[in-house]
Amino acid sequence: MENQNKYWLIPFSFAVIIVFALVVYVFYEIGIDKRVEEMRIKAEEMALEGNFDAALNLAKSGLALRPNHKVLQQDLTLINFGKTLYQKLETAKKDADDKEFDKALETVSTVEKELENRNGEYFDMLRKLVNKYKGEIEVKQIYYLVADKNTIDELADALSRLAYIDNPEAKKVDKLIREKIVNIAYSTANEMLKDKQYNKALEVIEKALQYDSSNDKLISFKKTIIEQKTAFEKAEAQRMEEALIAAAQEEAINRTNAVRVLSIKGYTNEYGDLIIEGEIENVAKRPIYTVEVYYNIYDADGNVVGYGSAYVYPSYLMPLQRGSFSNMHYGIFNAAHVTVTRVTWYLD
Amino acid sequence: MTRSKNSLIFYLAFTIIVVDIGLIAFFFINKQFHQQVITGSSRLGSLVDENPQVENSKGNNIKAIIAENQEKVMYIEVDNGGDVVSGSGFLYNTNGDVITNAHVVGDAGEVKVKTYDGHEYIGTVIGRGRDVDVALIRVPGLAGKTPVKISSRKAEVGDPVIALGSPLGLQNTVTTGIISGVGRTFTIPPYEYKDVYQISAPIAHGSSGGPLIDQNTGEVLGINSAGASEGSVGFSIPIGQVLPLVENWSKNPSKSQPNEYAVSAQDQFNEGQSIKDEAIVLIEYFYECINSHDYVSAYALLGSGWQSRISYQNFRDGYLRTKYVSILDIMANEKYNNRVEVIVTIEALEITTEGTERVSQYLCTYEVGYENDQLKILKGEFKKI
Repeated sequence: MENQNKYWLIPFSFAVIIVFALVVYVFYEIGIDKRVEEMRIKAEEMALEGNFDAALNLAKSGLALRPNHKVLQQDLTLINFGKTLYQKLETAKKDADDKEFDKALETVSTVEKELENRNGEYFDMLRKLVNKYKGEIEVKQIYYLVADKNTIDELADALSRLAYIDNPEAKKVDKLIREKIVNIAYSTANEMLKDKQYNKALEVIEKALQYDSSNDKLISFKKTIIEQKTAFEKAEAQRMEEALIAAAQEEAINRTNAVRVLSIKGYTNEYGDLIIEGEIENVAKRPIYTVEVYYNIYDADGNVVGYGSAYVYPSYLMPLQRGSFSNMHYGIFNAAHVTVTRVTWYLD
Repeated sequence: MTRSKNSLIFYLAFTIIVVDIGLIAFFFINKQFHQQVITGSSRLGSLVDENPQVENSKGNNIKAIIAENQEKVMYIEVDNGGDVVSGSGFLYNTNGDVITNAHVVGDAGEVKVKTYDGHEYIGTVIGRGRDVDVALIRVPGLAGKTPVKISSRKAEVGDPVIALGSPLGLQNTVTTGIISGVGRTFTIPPYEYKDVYQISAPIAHGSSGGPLIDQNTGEVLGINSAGASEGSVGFSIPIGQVLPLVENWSKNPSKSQPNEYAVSAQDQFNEGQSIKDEAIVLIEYFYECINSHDYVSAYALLGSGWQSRISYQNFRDGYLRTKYVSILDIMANEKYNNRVEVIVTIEALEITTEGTERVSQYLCTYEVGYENDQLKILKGEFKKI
């Protein structure tokens, strides 16, 4: 009887153990629920930080435990979307490194379209990511394109494109381009200075100063150009003044002293007439014509015994050209010498 | 004994049942937990496309944008020696720098800046574009005020925009429209408008310099700069074009000098005649001077290098025996660097020392080019033929 009474203990103890085990198990599963929830929160956090792989692992592990977790399923899709997008951006970045900029930017714009009309924190993060890559690719492209640009206008266009991009790399390239503008302006202006094109050179310097007003090299070069321009204009004005003075002096000679008498003499010919002959030279720098030489005839005592004038032949005399004149007087027998009193001429 | 054996079997069987129930319960609980459908909201958002909620709040949005930006738009008055020009501008940074058009400030060093609430300030022009129509005015009285937001994207055709300004002196005028074209390029001397936006809002006199604002974001897309005289079309310079200049001026503020070395408009439009034609005219004029014995004028046509090698007297004496020069043939070739080679065959009537006339032909090669903005004969070579 006592034995018989104790048999019920077998199922009873089993039942107790089983119930206990089940209770433990239920708590275990509740723990898993909590863990999965933590995984979900962590996964979403990771995804929002852009850590797609970690987020993906967490979501997958969570789903392995709770395959019907609708939120996790959706998260998984979204994380995969983000990861694919990230991979596309990485590909675009590689394309950009291989100078395939059009292809890279094409990829970026496809990705941008995928994000259109999507709202929320996650998509904002993805948009930011896209913009970051886009900016980096554009900066690379600008940097690459600028290498063989050698005019200030082209470089200014590059600066305009850079102005829309907000990243540290853009700032660096912006600085490089401004330096290049300064260098190009300097060498261009230098060439213009050699050609004495001062205003053109100043224009180039002024244009470059718009992009870096504090550049000492340009500021001092501008001063140099202005100094040289002033010196040039002064020298030119001086040369022209000298020319005008010389021309005025020449004009004075032309008007007052154009004729130099080379010789004049008188002699009596076989018929007893007094022949006056002479030669003159046009010492003016202009042609002269109708040159008339006036002279007096003196006797041995220095008394004027006659006078006259003669036209020079040829009538038109080029500078340095010589001409001669002659005249005949009758009835003067005591002529001793002849002197020219006056010469008249017309300037051509 | 049999009874007790029977009872043992009974209890053992009962135990098995108990264990079975336990197992069933385990599997049931396991399944319940594992397969449970968990719903809720994710921070990552939903899978379906959401419609932008802009549509219904659009009217409010425009009002908010206008209210926010109005106090950052200035009325600008410039006294150009009795001739008062007015325009608009907008606050660019916390230094009190106001962006406007260069054609609004002209050559002025100081301008009057009025805010929408009637405050008047005096600003100094600290930067002036040479070919881009933009200027920067520093207004110390506006320092510390919140500036406009600058857009980080280029506008596209169809983007809704708001133009703020003071057309015809009417302060705080708002005009809405869309970007109706991009990539427009034209010149209004001395300014070049390259790759600018065309907008469906007219830019009347006085609106120049005002901001073009994105209706969706409230950010500044460009500077309203020019209007067509006919139809409701305006033009706006993309903000990206002016930022590189404005950033520099703001960083290096200097009392900006008027563009003293700017190429005059006349100069730019005097290009109907090519430098080749000009060079030929110059050489012909040179010989005209020689023939009329105006050697000073002829000498003045020589470049500085040539002039320093030969004095006026020597130059002039070179033509003592030349009575008349006629040009038989003249042609010009454009060379590198804006230089022209002019080849002239001349016939010179000369007087020999003996006083006889002689006709000689020469082949002259001249190099003509600009020197200090004037076309000069830089070099010359003569060969008797």
